[in-house]
Amino acid sequence: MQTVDEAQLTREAIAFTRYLISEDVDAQSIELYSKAQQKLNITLSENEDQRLNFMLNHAFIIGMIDGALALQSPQSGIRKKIYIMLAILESDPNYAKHFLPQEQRSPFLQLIGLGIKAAFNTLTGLILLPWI
Amino acid sequence: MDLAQEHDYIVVGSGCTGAMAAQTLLEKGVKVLMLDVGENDSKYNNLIPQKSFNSIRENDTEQYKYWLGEDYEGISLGKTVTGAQLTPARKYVIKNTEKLLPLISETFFPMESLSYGGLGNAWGLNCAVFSKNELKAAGLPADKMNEAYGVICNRIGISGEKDDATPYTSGELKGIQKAVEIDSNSKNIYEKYKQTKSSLNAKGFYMGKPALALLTEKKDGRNAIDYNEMDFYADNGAAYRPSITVTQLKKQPNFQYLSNALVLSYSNSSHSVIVSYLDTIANEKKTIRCKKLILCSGTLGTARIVLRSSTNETKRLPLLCNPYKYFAQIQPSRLGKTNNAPRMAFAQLALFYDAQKNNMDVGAASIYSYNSLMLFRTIKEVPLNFREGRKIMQTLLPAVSVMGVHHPDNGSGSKYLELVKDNNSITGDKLKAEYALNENALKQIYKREKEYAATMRKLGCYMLKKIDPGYGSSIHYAGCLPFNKEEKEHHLSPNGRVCNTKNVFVADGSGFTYLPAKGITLSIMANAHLTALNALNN
Repeated sequence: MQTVDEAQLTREAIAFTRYLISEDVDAQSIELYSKAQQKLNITLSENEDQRLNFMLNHAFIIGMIDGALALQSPQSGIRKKIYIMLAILESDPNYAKHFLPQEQRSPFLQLIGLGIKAAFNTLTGLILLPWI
Repeated sequence: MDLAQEHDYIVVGSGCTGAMAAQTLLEKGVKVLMLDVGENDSKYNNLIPQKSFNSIRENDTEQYKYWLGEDYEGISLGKTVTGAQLTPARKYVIKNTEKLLPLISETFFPMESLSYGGLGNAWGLNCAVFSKNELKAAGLPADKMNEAYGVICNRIGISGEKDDATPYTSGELKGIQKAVEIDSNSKNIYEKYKQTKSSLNAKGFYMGKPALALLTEKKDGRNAIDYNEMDFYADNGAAYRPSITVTQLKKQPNFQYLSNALVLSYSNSSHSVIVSYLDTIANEKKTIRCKKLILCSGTLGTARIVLRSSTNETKRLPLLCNPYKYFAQIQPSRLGKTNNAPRMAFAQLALFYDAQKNNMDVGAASIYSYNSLMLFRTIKEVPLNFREGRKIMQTLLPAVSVMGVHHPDNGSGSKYLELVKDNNSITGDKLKAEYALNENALKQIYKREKEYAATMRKLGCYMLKKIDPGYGSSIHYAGCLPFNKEEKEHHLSPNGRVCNTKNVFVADGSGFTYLPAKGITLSIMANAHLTALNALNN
C-alpha cells in the first residue's frame, strides 16, 4: 500500500478535472479532493498506483482506462478517486453548467455520438489495460 | 424530572407511532413520559438556504458542505444499499444505530432510527388507507381503523386528489387538501395514462396523484409546500414529520420527554411495569416505573425489547417486509427538454396494480422525478467512463424518472428475527434476521414487475435499469408479534396488549399479520391512536 503526498493529490485533481469537464480545477476543489482522499481512506495497490501514474503522465488515456475499469473493476481505487473528483466538481457552483440539465436541439444525435465515443474508449481501454 | 416516581404512561420512541400514541393519551388528559434516544442533526440544518435547488446549485459556494457532508458521507463508494439514498443532512436518521441496535443478517438489510422523530424523518410521505380486505388480513378492525384514519388525517394534514388511484390512497378520507402540482415529466405520463386508461384499467392498473402528508395550504402554523425541490435535504414545515407533533406536545404540562434513553426491556410487577433503559450518555443501565407501557419502537426495536423481556426459550419471531425494487426509466419524448416547475422531490404519481380487482395483494408503485439528487449519485450506476457517463446522464436526466415498486408480504417461516448473545455489543445482544421468499412469491414478484415495466412502456417510459437494493430496503417492517385472540406468548391481543402482560402495549406495526404494498405509515399511525385508546380503557 502506498501513501500519497499533497503534490500527488493536486496532480490527480488537476488531471481528473481536465478529463471530466475540460476545465482547470479551482483551489477549493483541490483542497476538498485532498481531504476526501484522506477521510475516505482511498488506498491503491502497487499495481494500481503504477497504473494511476501512467494515466497522469498520459492524460489522453484516462478516459480509456476509466471506461475499461467501469466494466472490469468498477470498485477499483482509481475509479473511486475519479468518482470523488466528479462529486466535488458537481458541488461547486463554478462547474454547475456541466451537471445541470440543459435544453438541447438534437439530444438523440448527442446521445449516439457519446455512446460511440464511450464504446470506443472502453474497447481501447480493454485492449490497453493488461499492458498498463 | 423525578425518575423515582411512578409514571402513568410511558411511550417508547418519538417516531410516527410514538407521536400519535402520545398525542391521543394527552388529549384524554393523562400524564405521559416519552423515552427516546433522540439523535438530532446538529451539523447541516442551519447550513441549507431556503432557496430552490437550481438557485443553490448555481450560486452557493458552501454547498459542498451539505451535498458531500463534513466527512464526505454523501459520497457512497460501495454498492447501493438500504439508506444509500439518505443525504448527509438526513444521515442523522440512522446515527448510532449500528452501535445501539446491532443486527446481523446475510439476507435482510433494514434501516432503523434512533432520531428525534424516528424513521418519520425519512418518510416519503405516501399515505394509503388499507382496504377492508387488507385490514382483515392484517388483523385490524375495519370500522375503528376508518375512524382512526380520519383522526390522523386531521392531525398531520394530507393532500391528494379524487382520481383512479383514490381507492388505493386516500379512500374515503375527508378533509384532505388539494393535491400537489406535478412537473412536466409527470404530466406527460399522466396524460398518456388518461388516453389509454380503459385498456390499463382492464388489466388492473390504476394511476393517479398520491395522497401525501404534505401541505398545499397552511395548517396549524405549518407552511404550504414551496416547490423549492429541497425536500431530500431540509423541511420547511409542509412535510409532516413526527418531530412536529412531539415538539408541540413538549409544551403541554402533562408531557415529559427524556432523551438519551434506549429502552432495553420491561418486567411486570403486580400493578406496574418496570422499564429498564440505557442512558446513552452515561452508558449506565437505569430503571423507571410506570402504570402502563406503550412500545412504539418500530417492529425491529419492539422485537428486541420483547425478546429481552421474555422468559420463554422460544426466541424466534416472524417478520414481514415489503420486497422493493426501483426502476430507472426514461421518456424519450422528453429528451432535450427541461423539466419545468413546479418541482418537488416527493412522489409525483402513484400506479397500483390490482390484478384481482378486489383491493387485495395490490402492487404499489410511486413515480419520482429525479431532478434534485446530484448527478454523481446516478453516474455510479452507469457502466461507462465518468466523462461520457456524465454527459450522457446530463442529457438523459430531464427525461428520467424513478419508479419504486413495492410488493405485498405474507408471513412465512423463512422470515424471522432472533436475539442472539453478543458480549461485544453495548446491549449484550444483537438481532439476527433472516428473510427468504419461496419460489411462488418470487414468481409473483417477477410477474408483477414485468407487468409494471410493460405498462410504463405503454405510457412512453422505458426501463434503463432495475435496481434491487435488497430485502429490508422498503423500510416497511411489521408482524413480529402477530395479533391473536388467544393469550399466546409473543403475540398481541387484538387491543394491542402484549399477551401474558397486563399493562404492556405495542402501538407500532408489530401486530400486523399481513403487509399491503401501499405503504404502512398512515396505518401504523391510525393503529397507534387506537392502541393508545385501548390502553386507556384496559
